[in-house]
Amino acid sequence: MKYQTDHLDHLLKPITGEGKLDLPTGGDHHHGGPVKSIRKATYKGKEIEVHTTYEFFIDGEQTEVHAEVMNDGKVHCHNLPQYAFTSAIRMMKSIIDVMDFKMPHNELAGGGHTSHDNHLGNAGMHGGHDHDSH
Amino acid sequence: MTAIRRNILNNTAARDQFLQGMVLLDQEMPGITAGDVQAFLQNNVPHITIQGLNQQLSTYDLFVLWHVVAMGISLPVGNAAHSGPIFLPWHRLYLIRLEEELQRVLGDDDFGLPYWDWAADGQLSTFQQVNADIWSTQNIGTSRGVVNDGAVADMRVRLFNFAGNRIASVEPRRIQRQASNQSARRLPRKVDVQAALDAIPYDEANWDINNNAHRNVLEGWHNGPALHNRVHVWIGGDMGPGSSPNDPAFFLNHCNVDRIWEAWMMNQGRDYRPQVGEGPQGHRIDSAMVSILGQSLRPIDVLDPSQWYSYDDLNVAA
Repeated sequence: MKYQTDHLDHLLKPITGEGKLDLPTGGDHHHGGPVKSIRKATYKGKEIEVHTTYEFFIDGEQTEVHAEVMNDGKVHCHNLPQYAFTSAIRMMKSIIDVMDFKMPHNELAGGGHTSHDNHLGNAGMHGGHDHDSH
Repeated sequence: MTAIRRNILNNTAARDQFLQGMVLLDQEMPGITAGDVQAFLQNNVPHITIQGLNQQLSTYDLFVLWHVVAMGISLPVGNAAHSGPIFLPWHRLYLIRLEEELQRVLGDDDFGLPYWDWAADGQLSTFQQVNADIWSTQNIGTSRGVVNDGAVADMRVRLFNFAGNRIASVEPRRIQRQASNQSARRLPRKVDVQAALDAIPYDEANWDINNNAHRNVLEGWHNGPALHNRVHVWIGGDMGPGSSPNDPAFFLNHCNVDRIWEAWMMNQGRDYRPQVGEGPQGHRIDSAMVSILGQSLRPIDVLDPSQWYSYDDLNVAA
């Protein structure tokens, strides 16, 4: 028995078992490039749609941020899930604050597929972002 | 007998047990490493990745992981835990599971998670909010900077959601806070809680972050960041990213959010929307909620929590 706490088996089975989780589907998994946000509203019987397209760059490097514009004009992003920013610049400053830490040596490198998602700079990582399995 | 959830500031026994239990869960190493988590993610949600140290992870860290995973699963509206109708039932399941683990490590089947009535502190001045009793050494430690005082100083952050779907396994460090920052100077107030109580129905089309229904008001998107969202943003630091359960304040916040939902249901009935076959997948009353720790439940299973717990006081706006 690899796991040291048998009484936790019921709890840990989804992680330690080999079966797959039954997960919901249906959302978009953004694969890079500009991010499009669509706002919809109804006014006097008319259907309104406002399409906003964002591209984010940090130090000249295109950076993936799952941004969404709310109907009140504030900007929300996946990275900071509870925030509603009054401007996209303010949002990017907060994202940089979260990334501002020293990433330790990546002992988990070579573990297979690495993310092609949310390319947000290297956050102090050695070697940056790994695309070796694409 | 079921647990009774009490105000952490009015019940020192519940507070002391809560702090003791959180430290115990954070120090319990069930034998799962960051490498095991990497394999689990690749097998189930390969767009969510982990990098950094291949270290042993605690039971508490796995709760942090669960939150990041649920948040990383995008649905037609929001994700598997936020920004849609599933927000309140998913977090109810999450808290029930944590409460059960606290009961186990404490050896007390009747232990109930305490809540922090943050709207009571929201009635104070901004200066008083940052220095309120909840942030004392006897409670959950300082509201600003590294938490070096009290029981929470014994807890460590090992997993950190530094970008979208990317998790860092970092050198264990203490929890950090930045209360009353430029994104939110003050906490929600009782009048905001009353607005959430008055909001009907539970949720409505388009089921997103742009309506005035109860779930969206309480989650804090309407005139946001408000209520739940504002508490995260106001505390800041480790309460900001998807790994926010690293801070025990997460559970005190969500216990109070759950209490407000329970108070709403006492007034409005146990009405959940969308119903079967209605609205976006993953948010329906019969949708399986994402669980990586124990069995999944559906919103319909948790609408009435009386088999698990009750609250000592549902006068949430008083």
